[in-house]
Amino acid sequence: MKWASEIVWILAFAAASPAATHAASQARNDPPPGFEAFARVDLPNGLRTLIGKPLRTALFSEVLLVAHAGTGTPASHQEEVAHIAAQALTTGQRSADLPPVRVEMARLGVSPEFTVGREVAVFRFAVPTVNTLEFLRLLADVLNRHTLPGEVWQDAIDRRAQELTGEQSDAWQRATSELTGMVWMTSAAQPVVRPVSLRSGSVDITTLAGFWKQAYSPAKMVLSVWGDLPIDQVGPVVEHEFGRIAPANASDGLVAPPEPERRRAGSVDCLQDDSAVPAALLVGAAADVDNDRSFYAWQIAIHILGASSNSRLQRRLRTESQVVYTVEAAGVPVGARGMTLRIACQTDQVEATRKIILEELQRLTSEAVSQEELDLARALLRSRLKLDGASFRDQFYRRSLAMLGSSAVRDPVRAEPILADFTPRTLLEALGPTIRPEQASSVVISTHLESVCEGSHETKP
Amino acid sequence: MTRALRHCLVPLLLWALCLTAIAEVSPLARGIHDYVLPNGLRLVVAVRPELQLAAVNLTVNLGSIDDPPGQSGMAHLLEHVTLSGSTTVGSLNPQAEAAALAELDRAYAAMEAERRNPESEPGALVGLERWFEQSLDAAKRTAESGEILGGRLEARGGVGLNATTTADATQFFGSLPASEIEFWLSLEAERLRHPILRRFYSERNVVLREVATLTGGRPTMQERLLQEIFPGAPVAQSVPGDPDQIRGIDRPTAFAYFHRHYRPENMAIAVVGNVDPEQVHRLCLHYLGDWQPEGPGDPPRSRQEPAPGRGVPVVRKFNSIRSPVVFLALPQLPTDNDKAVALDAVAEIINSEDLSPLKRRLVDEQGIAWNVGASANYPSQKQTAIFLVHVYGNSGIAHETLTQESCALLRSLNSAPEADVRGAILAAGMRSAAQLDDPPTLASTLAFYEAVQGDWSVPFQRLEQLRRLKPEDVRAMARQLFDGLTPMSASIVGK
Repeated sequence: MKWASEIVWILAFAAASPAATHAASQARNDPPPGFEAFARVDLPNGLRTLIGKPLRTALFSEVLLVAHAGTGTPASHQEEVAHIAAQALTTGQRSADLPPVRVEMARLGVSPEFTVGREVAVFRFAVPTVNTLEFLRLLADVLNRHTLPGEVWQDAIDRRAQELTGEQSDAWQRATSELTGMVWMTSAAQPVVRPVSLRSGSVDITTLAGFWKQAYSPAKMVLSVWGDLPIDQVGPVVEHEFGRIAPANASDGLVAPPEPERRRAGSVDCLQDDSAVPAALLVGAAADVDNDRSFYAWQIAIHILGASSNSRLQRRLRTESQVVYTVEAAGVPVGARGMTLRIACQTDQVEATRKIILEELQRLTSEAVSQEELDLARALLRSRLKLDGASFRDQFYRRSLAMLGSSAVRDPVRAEPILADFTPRTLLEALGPTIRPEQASSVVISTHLESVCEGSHETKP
Repeated sequence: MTRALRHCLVPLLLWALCLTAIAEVSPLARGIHDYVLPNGLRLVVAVRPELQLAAVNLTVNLGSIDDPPGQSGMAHLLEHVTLSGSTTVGSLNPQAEAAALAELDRAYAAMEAERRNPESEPGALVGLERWFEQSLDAAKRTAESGEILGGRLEARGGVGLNATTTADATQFFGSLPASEIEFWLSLEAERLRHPILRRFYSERNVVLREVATLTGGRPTMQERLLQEIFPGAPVAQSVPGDPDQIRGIDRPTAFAYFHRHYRPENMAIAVVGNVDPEQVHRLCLHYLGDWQPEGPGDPPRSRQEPAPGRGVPVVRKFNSIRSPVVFLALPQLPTDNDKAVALDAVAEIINSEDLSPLKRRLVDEQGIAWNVGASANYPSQKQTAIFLVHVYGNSGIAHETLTQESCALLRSLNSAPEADVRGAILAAGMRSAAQLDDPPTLASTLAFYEAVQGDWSVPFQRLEQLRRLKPEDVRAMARQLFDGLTPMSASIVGK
């Protein structure tokens, strides 16, 4: 049997061009820009795979696995289940006579990386070209473990516990989590981010095993492979190795988890850290970005506020007041329709710095920006979109999300007409209803009690 | 052998040698073009047709190890102050600004002289400080506000614009539409050919704030280690700089240093993108080809003062705030490129999350440490000083235990399983490959090696050498490094 005879098989050859960029984003089976060959293979067990060979000589292969196994998926019940299950993917052994999976990967020159988001878990493997096929066999075996022994789960729990300890001891990570919890809450009025400690027995292994079976089933995953190997060499290995994975129950599409809600009042939280010299200050405000227009309005606003050399905050805090070395504004996604506008800096003048940040936040939603500011932010944003567009990983990730039916895919090709349409006035109109600057919250990390921490605020050691 | 045969064979052999040399770097380096301008400035262009933005990098072969004695932080300070435009770019009135800056220099010199004067009259300093402040204000009024070069480039779509100083070099970089490369080169030419170092004193404050942010106001453990092992040597200098010494650098001093070291023969430019290399070359020639800097240049300090001699392994132990840290500093072996990649692989096996015997034993099994790592070329590639192993112990663990266990495990590396050593070689190769894959990192790597070693292809050669490296080469290197290693020369540096 020819290896591709019974599967959906689209093979295309194309050269990279701006025209191809647009077409690729429209039709997800077309080759991404920069690829000489590309194929989509849908296996009978439900696993969808994308295989590509870039135009230029790739120095190594990349394997991307996107699984509908995020923290907000209905089957996860609690956030930690998804994190532990992701740890379990590279934990344990293929068989009793083989070394641990991680050691096998390391011996192939592969260092696994993964992140667990709200909808999906994403695994990225950079693989020496020479070991690509062997690694694919290993990954298929790992995914084909229908049930995992108790010691594997315990090991995965321990690894997650270590990860959490690391996050807790990193003041910046802790402060960011703290800030997110201060501006967003669940529909049950709980913080969206809660400090978690994984005590022995606090996570039920039956729940973990159930989640593993359901979330890491072939129909809930998309596998992408690209590198300097001919597709007709990689394709048969993918079909044979990953086709062996037993299908699970009928798959369902992504079910959107409940959206977090904005908190109605701002607050100040203070964390003590002996190494916080100078003190770190994070200011955050919740913004609703439930459509492309408000999303890109905020991307522009963030550049004007604090993500460019001559941003308003950079000028006032670094150039004029000289109270910070640098200041950075960013939009951190929360759920599918929210964003935390986060401003971070280090300063020995917390009170004065915070006052300026809050003033600028207020100004952004009460008066129109200048045409010059808008043009500059637009130029920057267009370049950043081009940078993202050139990333193979980004292209495959976006396609994977679309194939899983995610609602959170934002196609950068649709950005240009929206960006071009903004005027200072329409930008203000787009920003205004999405945020309440007076509800901004702050986190201070310092060695001693700062004046903004006095009063009703809690200082956490 | 007949004379005629020799005539045929010699060119054939030369041709074969050339082919071998090309094979060393190809095919991974395909599409990379290099040029040397008449004034010595080097240009490397990597053609990547799939890129929508070009990554650009200008590297000066001047790092913290080149800082003059008593002026630690000079390279870092120049990184900041050279980005303030040129005598014309950013100036509202070039003539008035030149006069205002000359006045500022006089005011600063008078104020500093008075500060050093033991017989200073009461009130004299106050007046001079006022003169200095007024001069600052006057100079400020003659120039644009804000980031002069960064703002201009961002308006044309430049992103990721930044600069960095390491022990070895100063790099200026960013990504921008390929159509703006000419604009970028024109601005680089302006600031290099007609420097002004405006806002010098306020930017010096920014640098001091950055040093405080990076170091928390005290030397890092690594800085203390190097100062102890190599007192007074260039390699021991702080990369961001010593705050007291930075405060002592004034604008005329920085200017003089700039003219001696920011010179075409000391620099390289790299461009990675969907560009025509010949066109980029023509642009470089147009904007920088006839640049002849003022006065004579100086070789950087790292070339004048030899690298530290070979010594014995040194163990230094620190009590950090919460837990002990042990540094094992091993003198670097004289290495050619082949041996250098073996050293990289030894470091890789120590750093590997899953193959490192030190991590497995000290972190996973014994639970006496929370991390272990190694650096093959610490702190510099220009003056390689030490192979550094660092062991971060858990609270309550004695230094001696950590040191003894680490030394024993390092000695046993020469018998590490072959599969593990092969994995470490592959991982070292992957690390190098990743550097050459990402466009901004590729631009940085090409410019760095071209400026510092005069050969952008070094990392490609290393990649090929790593592919040929055998486990027994790595084991032999581990044996050379660690055999006879004992917890000696221990001295405890307190909190």
